Amino acid sequence: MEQKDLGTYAQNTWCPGCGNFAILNAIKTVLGELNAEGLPLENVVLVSGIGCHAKIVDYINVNSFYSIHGRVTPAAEAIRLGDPKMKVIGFAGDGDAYGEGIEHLIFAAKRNIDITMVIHNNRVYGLTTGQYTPTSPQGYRGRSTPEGTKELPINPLELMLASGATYLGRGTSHGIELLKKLFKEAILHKGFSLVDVLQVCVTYFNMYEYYDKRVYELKDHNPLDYQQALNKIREWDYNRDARIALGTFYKRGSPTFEEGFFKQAVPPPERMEKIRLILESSI
Amino acid sequence: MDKYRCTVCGYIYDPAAGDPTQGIAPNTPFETLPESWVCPECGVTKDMFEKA
Repeated sequence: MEQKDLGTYAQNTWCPGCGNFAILNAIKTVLGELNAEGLPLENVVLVSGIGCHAKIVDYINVNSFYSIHGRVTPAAEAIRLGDPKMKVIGFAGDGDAYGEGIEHLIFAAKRNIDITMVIHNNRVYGLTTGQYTPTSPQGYRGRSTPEGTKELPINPLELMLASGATYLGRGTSHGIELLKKLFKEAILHKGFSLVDVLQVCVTYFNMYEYYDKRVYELKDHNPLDYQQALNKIREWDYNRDARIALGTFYKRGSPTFEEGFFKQAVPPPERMEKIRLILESSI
Repeated sequence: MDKYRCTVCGYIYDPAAGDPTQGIAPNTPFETLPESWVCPECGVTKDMFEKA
């Protein structure tokens, strides 16, 4: 399958100015480039969850799977394990992946399974009209917290680093060129990769100006150095005002989960016999 | 005539092509687009564009 425009007939229903447009257009460009470089688009599967972000799969004309809330990661893992040819890219919101689905994300990072997760981190539940998420800053006033949240946010990149993720990057929806670079790196990375996108929800948490004033791109940073990555990740805790680093924080080569998994695969004719022997030997 | 890029979604307004989705004829400079014109890709207004 070859095509120049990966668009679909689905009408886009995101709010004007939504940060999701930058992610959509960046990923379409990257998929087009990878296709031109020899990646068949039929070997790409996109997975999305529940939230405004999830509609992204309706707008890109490649194979996709709509999962349920918090379950983008396990669906992506299963597709990857089912067919090692597949490039699996999961799109999830912060409420989705860092909330209900956080355990799946931690274990996918721990396994180093070769999938890419793009997190539309707008730090608010937009689709349900503005409740706080795990990455909303303390004091965020939303529909469910009219007096402001009392909790501190988590730092998802710090958590992912500690969990064993082998590629970690961060961009913003106001920097489409960097997003393209990060998405391409993450997709080509062998192992678990995650790009946290500070994606702006214009309706319930408009942070364009806030981010524009504070973000900077990492320079002279060695992504192979765990300690350097940790220091840069901890520079901003998703809560207090600080400089916000963007770029590739961490990148490490490591065996993937499926490398060991696929070795044991047995072709169908011999499979039943093999299963019988295993069962007999363990009784 | 300069091209302009939408800072939200990356769409490029090319004056040579205009914008048939909103009845903008080819060879219409960005500066003369009506204030009601919005990015055909993501719907933001003209002030969110910058020179490409």
